[in-house]
Amino acid sequence: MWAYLLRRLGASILTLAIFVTAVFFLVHALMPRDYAELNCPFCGPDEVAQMRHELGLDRPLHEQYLTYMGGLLQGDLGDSFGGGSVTSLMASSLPSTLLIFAVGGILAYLLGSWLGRMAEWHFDRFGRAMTTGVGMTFYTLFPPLLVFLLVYFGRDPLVSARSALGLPIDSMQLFRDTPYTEADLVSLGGRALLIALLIALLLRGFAKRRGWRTLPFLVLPVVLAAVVVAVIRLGVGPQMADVFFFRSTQQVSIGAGSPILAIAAFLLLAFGEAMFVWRAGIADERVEDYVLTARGKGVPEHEIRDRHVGRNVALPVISRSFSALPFLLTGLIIIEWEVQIGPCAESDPLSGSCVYYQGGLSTAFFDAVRNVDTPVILGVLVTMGVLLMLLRLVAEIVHVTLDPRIRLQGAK
Amino acid sequence: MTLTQATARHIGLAGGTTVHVLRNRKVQLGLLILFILFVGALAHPFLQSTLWEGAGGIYHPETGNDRTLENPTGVSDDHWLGTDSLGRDVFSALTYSLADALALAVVVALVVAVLSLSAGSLAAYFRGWMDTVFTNVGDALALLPPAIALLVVGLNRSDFGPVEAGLLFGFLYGLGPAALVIRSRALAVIEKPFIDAAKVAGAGPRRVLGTHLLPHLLPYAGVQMMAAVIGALVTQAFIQYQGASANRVGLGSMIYSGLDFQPVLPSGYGTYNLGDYTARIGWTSILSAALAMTLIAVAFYLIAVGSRDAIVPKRHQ
Repeated sequence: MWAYLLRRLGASILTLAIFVTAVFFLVHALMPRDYAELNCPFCGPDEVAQMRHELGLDRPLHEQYLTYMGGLLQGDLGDSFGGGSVTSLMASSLPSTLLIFAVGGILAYLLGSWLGRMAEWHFDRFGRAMTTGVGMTFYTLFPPLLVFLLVYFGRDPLVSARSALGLPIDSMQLFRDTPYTEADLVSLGGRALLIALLIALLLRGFAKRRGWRTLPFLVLPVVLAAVVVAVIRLGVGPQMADVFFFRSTQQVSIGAGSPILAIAAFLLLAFGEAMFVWRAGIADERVEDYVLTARGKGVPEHEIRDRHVGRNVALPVISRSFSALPFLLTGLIIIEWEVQIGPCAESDPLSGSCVYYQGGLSTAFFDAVRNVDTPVILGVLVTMGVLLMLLRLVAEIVHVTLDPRIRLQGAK
Repeated sequence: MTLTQATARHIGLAGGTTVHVLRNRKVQLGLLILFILFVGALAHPFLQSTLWEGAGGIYHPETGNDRTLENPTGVSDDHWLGTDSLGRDVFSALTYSLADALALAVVVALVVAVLSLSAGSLAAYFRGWMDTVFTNVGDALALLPPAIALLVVGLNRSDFGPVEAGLLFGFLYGLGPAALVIRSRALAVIEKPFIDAAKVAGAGPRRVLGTHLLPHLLPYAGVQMMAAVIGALVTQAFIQYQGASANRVGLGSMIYSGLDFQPVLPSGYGTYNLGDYTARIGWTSILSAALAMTLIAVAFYLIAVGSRDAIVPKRHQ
């Protein structure tokens, strides 16, 4: 098994090298303007040439490529044209993006796989058509519109309710006397949520293996409720609610700056994918002879569904989900841009409320695209590529652990 | 000879397969939706030169403005789908935008189908160096989200029309993730006895690939086509939404103009009046554009799923 994994790791590094090369030349070939032209609109040709020279843009492309690859080998993504290291920019903007990706992705997978199994196994034609319709609608919904609908129907009524109850709806008022800053609360709450989810997943798997029937359905709500209770007991309940759900209520805009909204939008966007893949897998598998045999032997229906068919479907689902990840990542980038969430770059010293959000990966990306800041664009693309590569390796390890045939094939 | 059979012969595929696919209800419904959308797109220049001609440019998708109304408005006799907050006719904008969206969808679908089917089946059939090249390229391209690549280019180049965008997106997706999926399906099919039987009977690579392998791969290519079309449409709409497209009217910009309300900031902190801005949301503009995008995707979904049902025998039972 180790030999197999080592071989895969070697192949991954080769793939990554091809990928970086392709991305480097693609970005350079398709960009119509460069940074110097764009950021010096009133300069004469001499000044533009001078700026190009300072940025190293006048060097031949293959030389730039070799410098970039050399830096990459040492883990250095180069410097942004606007100043500042790209590596540290990625390091500071990646966590908030990853948080939403992980929490939203796990929840979307759970919801999608459950709906997919139910739809294919239990629902009649009408129910199946309904789930297809709902899944398809969310899957194809324009992400900015999705965010707007969530703000309009999800957050605004709650804000109105809060003001009707006479509670403060203004973050500045709420944060005036607390020792916590918003940035503290975002990282605390986010990490708590992620850890709680992982624990819930482990518990769920354990309960399923033991064959305890109702527990798997209860685990998730109970753990989430426990997080809420813990937050309230810590004495940061109102602030947490503000940070996670109502942030920047003074501003009526599409961007709402709340992580919960971003997670919810990502969940709605992504669950359809998991659902369709599960349904296709079950439709392929349920006509196999072993299902008939199990039914003939009197195995309960839910056990055939989860233990016999589910396990056979799970493996292809993992590899098929991988091909959807780039799309989901794109959706997430757009959502993050709309919701305008990210780490706090500057807090108000008096109230602790955040004045300026640095933004996650999407802010870095869209700013760079606007300015043709090639090192940052490449940095974002390479970071995403490495992320996808790592996820693929994890999927492969899971695959190899679960399916002995691959291990044996690798040993040959 | 029925019409479907004639079409099948014309396309030149293994006749039985195509007839089977075209007889499928889902495929028929998907084609019908696409047909209606195409008619809508074709209706725009026609309506512009007949019904809307004398209206003094009110119905122009970009510069039109019906000043007699307090915009945005809902459905009315003059404006079949209402107007947006700038007074532009939504039906006119919708039919106008459909042309770009459909062009993109068709180009992406074709490029993805052609590239993934040829790369996937050639790699699986010939193996050797061809397989190594295609698999490595596919693996590398699978790490580059085509939508992100299109955003990088599309937000900077206003000369990037639907055809160019479709080619870029289709190339990255078709040789990347789609080719990998098709290759793995092709490997599974090639193991089956009927391929060996065909080879023994003297069939060359062209016949084995075209007649025996291709029909089994088509449904999977269909699913890949659908995924690519959805991704490309959303990306194109987002470029239009950001106002970076050469064509300033598109499904994305319709959603943008529907949401284009002036934020009404309350006089002091702590007051929040929802009613101030809800009146200015152009719901017809938003919903018709979103529905159009979903319908294009659904049409491709139905065609993909229907042809899979028709071709893969186990599902057929």
